[in-house]
Formats: sequence, C-alpha cells, structure tokens
Amino acid sequence: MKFWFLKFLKKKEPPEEKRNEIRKRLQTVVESRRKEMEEYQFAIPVEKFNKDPDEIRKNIIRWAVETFNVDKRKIKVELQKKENQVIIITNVSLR
Amino acid sequence: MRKGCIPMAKVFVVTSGKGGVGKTTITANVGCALAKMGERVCLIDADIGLKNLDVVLGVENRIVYTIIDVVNGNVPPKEALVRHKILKNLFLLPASQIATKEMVSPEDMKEIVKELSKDFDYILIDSPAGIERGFRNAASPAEAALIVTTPEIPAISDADRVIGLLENFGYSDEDIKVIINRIKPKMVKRGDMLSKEDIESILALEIIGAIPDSEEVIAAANKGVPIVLDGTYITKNYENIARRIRGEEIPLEVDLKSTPNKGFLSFFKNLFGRKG
Repeated sequence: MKFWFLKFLKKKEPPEEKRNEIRKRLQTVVESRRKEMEEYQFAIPVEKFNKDPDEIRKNIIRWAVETFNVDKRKIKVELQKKENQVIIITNVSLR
Repeated sequence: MRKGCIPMAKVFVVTSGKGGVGKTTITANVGCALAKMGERVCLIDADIGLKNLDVVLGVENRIVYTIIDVVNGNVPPKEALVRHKILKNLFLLPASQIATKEMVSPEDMKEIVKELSKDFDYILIDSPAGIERGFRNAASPAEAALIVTTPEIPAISDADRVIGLLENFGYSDEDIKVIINRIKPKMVKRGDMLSKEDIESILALEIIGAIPDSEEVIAAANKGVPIVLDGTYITKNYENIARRIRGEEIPLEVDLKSTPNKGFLSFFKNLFGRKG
C-alpha cells in the first residue's frame, strides 16, 4: 500500500505479449484434455483368440499405428482374462 | 450435409458446452433475423427442465403444449408450435419445465425435426449446456452446428471439447461454425482478452459472427423482445450472422467495428429519452 506510486513506474506489458500468454494457457488447457475418439467395435471369435492371442495383439498394434499415426513402440496392449471374458487394454501415447 | 440427418429445412443446433455464454439469446435473435428476412423459421427449445427460449422471445404466456406432449404422442409437432407475436413466420416448439432431459431421446428429436422440416426453411435447436443427454438430443437431428463461445479460456476449451464430440457424431469442419459472444474490443486492444484471430486459430473453424458485449441484450431479454426487433447498434451483428447462414459473404470485420453510439447527437437523444 505504501508504495502505490511505484505502480506508475512499473513498465507496462505490451498487449500482444499479454494476449500471447493467454493464448499459451488456452493451448495448454486444450491440448491436455483427453480427446474424444470415435468408437470402434471389433468382434473376435473365442476360438481365434484362444488359438493365438499374440496375433490379436499384433493386429491391434497394427490398427493403432495406422489410425493414430504413431510409432508402434508407443502402443501398449494388455490382455487380461477375467472369468469368462477377455479384457483388452490398449494404451496409445500420442506425445 | 452430414450422414443420417434430415433434409428439407436447414437444421442447426446452437450449442457451447459451457453454460451462460448466450446460446438462448443467440438462438432467439438469429431466428428473428432470419424470419425478418422472410424465411420460415422454427426454434426448438431442447433445454428440457429449464426452458428459457420462450421467455427471451416473450411468448411464455402463449404456451399450450410442449415438446413432451409431442414425444408422448398427445399432439403432432405442428400443433404444439407457438407463433411469435410480431414475426408471423417465426415459431417455437417450447420445452417443458416439469420434465427431464431423459424423457426425450435422440430418436424422438429426429422424428420431430423430420416432421417439422417440411414446413420450414430453417430450424434452430437451442441445446442445453453440457455434453450429456440433452446435448445429444439437440445435436442428433441437426446437419450443422453453431458453437457459441465467449472470449475466455473456460468457454473456448469447452467449445473445443464440444467440437470434438460433434466430429465424432459425423459433423465435418464445414458443418461447424463459431459465434463469439460478448467480445470487448477495448479489452482485446489492451491484451486482456483473446482476439477473433486467436480463437479462430485455436478452434480451427470458421467464425460466422462476433457480438460485442452489451447491456442492451440483458434489457431486451428482460422485456421479452429480442434485440433484433428493438433496433439497436447490435441488431446488425445478428442480422449479419443470419445473412452468412443464408450464404452471403460479409466480412467479419464489420461486426467487430460495431460499437454503441456515444456521439454528440446520441447524448442529446439519451437526454430526451430516445434510443441512441
């Protein structure tokens, strides 16, 4: 409060710089959001799955490489068997 | 035109993601502007449970049936329409206040729009805020979307999310247009607000209109007379949006230049109680 007069001496930030700062913040908010993707549904016959789960894994990776245009090292596919179901978890790192 | 949508009338959904950005006001005013140009316009209030479009249009006392009566099969869609007091080619299909969004499905909306599209040139669907059922109901029968945003980070980032969802529904970039509401040119100049160019570059979509912040919009909503019928400096901005929807090419710079008349003559007009 005492040094209110110092405010007058403070150098004003140029408008373009101020706007750039807002723009950067917005860009970060928008980019950090999880993007909604179209839903894809695949039906894999049980016999085919039991026969060669690794082949299924490779197919998923191939599809993800084409769909998201990323390196295959950035795709992680996990197959978990639970009761009568198989859960396929696919993680794609888009960064 | 996007796949699976209904032809004949041009059907727009007015949406935003974030609440309170001015969807209802824009639906009412763009609808009025199109009707003033001689188009047959139907506005659908898809904000079931809240409903405000009837109030902004000033027809709240004329409602007999609502969209829920149509969904339940009590009346055909045309019978539930409310005609505007001044613009005889502008109609409203009101929402119900005592119902919930879950009482209507996207299929119901498609059926209603299909039925109405035979009799209208334009149908504007006022979507509720959010990205849940109400938004899906509003977006499913439309072929194009008007995304309303204010020039602030939460509104733009929500608009971006909604754009992503619409793309998943099958909307292409050409089907989605952006309207910037409550822009303050002075704040943009000072660097405290994002400009039209900033928003355009982040959302990567065409901006079809910019409406400056104005106290008169609030006054008009309270009177129940859309500002387009009140003839103020901001009227032109809504009319320009309507013209662009009809395919006319009007540069957006025209909208950004509109400011309240604060000249010498206006001072005396205001002094004697006349509009500036």
